[in-house]
Amino acid sequence: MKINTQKLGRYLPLYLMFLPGALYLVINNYLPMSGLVVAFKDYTVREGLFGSPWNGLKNFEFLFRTPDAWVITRNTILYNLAFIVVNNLLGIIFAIFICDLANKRLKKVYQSAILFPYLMSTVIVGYIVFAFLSPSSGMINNGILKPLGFNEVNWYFEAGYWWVIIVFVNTWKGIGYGCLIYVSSINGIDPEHYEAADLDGASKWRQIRHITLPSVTPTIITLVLLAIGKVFYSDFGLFYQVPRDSGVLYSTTNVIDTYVYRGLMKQGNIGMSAAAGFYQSVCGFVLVLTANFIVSKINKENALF
Amino acid sequence: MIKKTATLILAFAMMIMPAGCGQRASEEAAPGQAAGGKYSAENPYHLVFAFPEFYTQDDAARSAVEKAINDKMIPEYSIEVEFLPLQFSEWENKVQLMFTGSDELDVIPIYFERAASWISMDALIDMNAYMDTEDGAQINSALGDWAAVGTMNGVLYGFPAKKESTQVGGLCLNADICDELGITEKYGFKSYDDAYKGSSHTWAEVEDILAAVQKAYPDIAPLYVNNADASLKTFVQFDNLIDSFGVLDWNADHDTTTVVNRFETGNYKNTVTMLADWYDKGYIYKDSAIDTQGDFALMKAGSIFSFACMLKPGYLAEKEATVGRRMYAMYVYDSEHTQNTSTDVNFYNTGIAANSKDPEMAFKFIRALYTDAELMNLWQFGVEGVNYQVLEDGTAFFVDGEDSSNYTYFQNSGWMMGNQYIGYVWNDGTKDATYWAKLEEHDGWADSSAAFGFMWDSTEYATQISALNNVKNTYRAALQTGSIGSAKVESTLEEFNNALYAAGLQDVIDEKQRQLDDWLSKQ
Repeated sequence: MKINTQKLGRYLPLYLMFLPGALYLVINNYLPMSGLVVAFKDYTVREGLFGSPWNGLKNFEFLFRTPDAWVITRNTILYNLAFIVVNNLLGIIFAIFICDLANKRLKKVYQSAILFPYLMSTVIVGYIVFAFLSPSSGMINNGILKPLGFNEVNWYFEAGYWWVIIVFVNTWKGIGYGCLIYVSSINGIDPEHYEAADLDGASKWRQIRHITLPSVTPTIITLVLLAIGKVFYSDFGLFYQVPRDSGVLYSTTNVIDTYVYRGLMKQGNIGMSAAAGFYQSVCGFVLVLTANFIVSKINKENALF
Repeated sequence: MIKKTATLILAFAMMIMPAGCGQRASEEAAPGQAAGGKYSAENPYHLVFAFPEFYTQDDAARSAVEKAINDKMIPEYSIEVEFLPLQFSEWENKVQLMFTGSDELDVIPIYFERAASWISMDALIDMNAYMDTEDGAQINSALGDWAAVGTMNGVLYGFPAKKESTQVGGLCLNADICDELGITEKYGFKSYDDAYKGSSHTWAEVEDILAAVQKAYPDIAPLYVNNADASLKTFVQFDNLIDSFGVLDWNADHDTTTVVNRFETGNYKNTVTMLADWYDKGYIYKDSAIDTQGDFALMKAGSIFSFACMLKPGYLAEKEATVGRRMYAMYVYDSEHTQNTSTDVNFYNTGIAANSKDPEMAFKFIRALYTDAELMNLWQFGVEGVNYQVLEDGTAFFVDGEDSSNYTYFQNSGWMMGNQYIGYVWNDGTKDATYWAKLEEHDGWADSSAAFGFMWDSTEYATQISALNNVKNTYRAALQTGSIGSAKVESTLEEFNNALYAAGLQDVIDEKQRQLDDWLSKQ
């Protein structure tokens, strides 16, 4: 007990520093959790959040009622997995390229250029894509396919192309962010490792494999785990604005968020909206725990908790 | 040790939250005592009036108008009005959020598609309780048949705005091209000739025109079809019974009371087949299904020759100002009279939020919106002499030195809440004092649907409706703009209908029919 008090005294300033953040977390992230009960309620204004009658799982029914349930869950998960793989892989590759640039100024230019799309609103990205794909005035149909003698493609009515388009657009837009994190983590590697490797005559490829990659592994794992927690969420704009809400494309562009938005936008049913959010967060929570468990089995040190 | 404490704190916090909220809920449940004589000019009822704004306002000018309204309302009605201006894009969600909080809120607009869910969450006051009062009688005489239209499952949740509701469909055409190709002479189009006179053109004539334009101007899309569901009405009429899942097939039989699946009817199929044929022939703007620019922008840019729309007197003058081109109106319709449905009238209603501390006073204010011209003019156009002036012909316009670019207060939203017809006609340069009369005459061209006044209560079917909405969104826009192409109409319709039934369409149709029969038996 005595030791504990001593310890507490020693760490007290640290705890005090931690307090505002913790309070913020409790107020902002934990207290609203009690609102999740509304997902199981037949909500009425008069009886309030906690007084309204329970209605079991009725609010969840709409999510699983049609064959769409399978399509939207499949799309959400597969897209996110594709995003995780492509973004991290390309992010590391680009980061290595950028770090090996000798010219300092060019390094900055490339780094900013690659980050720029990330700062753009998805609505604008949607219009850029439209400028390429529009049936009436799009660059690809009128500028490439037609002059070369190919048939025009009605992009917004052919679902088959869209998984490529979505992944491409997401990579184009998002790669800068991951790249930035990897650049900073590569810059943090002690240059002495590379100097020693150079002396021993290690090739560039060997340096990457045996120095760079092992050093950024913790960063990769953190980023992947964070992304896995969001596998059941999706960038709404990417799936709604970019395909311009074209119904014919739903088989490859409909994800849980857009499904919920389209189904509930007109009705404004609070219980059902909460049910959808509840479903996403519980699935995300389970996924993070599983992924972390797997990581800790392989390498305890790299696990988040 | 620390971990344990943290857990305890969290658990404790979780316990407090529900308790706190429960208390608030029970307070709210306390019956609000209504007493008419409770208020006086010295002790007025404080009323919060929520409305969307369509034009940017100057805050100081708005406050001045609010004060002018109170200078009138406090002595006359013992009501002190507080404006709650909302942005159009977010008003539904804002109002819905306010229901769940403890905000003061009395008189609100209600959008018909939200009505069922707002009623089911007890957010609206049933105004039937006040219809026997003197105020109720005045609303009855102002609205006539329309006073009870905003009734769902016996709950009178709102009153429709008193304005024109009849919509006759047709085309708006680029006048210069019509003149040049001799279309004007052939069909007798005239500038600003947009009042419906009972006769109209056919879709076959339209097709001839589109073909002629395509030949002369291969770079201009002859026709633009908006991808919103409402634009189907230009081509074929159904009583959509709110959500279009289970409808009355008006074109087949004007008196029908049988609820059918709209997407299986012959009328629907013929329409989408015609549109697909036109799309294949290149008559329809290729981007229609995914367009977000809209007909006016495209007409202005000269990308399209015509667009399908709902016409009414004054339409051309209003739109020409926006588009900056001369246009002709062409009514296209297969019978003399058009249709009037509950949702044509009930699009936006005015009702009372359950938050209201004294619904009786809120009801009195709503009555004033329908009967008190002075209040309507103040709210709509501001203070006479400060914000607007009455012109010689009895219409209103901005005061000298102000126009639409430098005004300080201007709502012009009487078509959404209240009684538009008791206020001034706003003279934007195209209207005169007889404008209200013209609109009322236009309304005369409509026959009511057999289900006019019926609003079905979808509360128990929210699951099916949301699933159905998703199915409908998948196929509708591509079909209704023709973008699907002739080859795929048949198979897409079949797929569409199968998906609808899989999502529970039959349950909805059966329930609608049951509620409709029940409603009809009480008429």
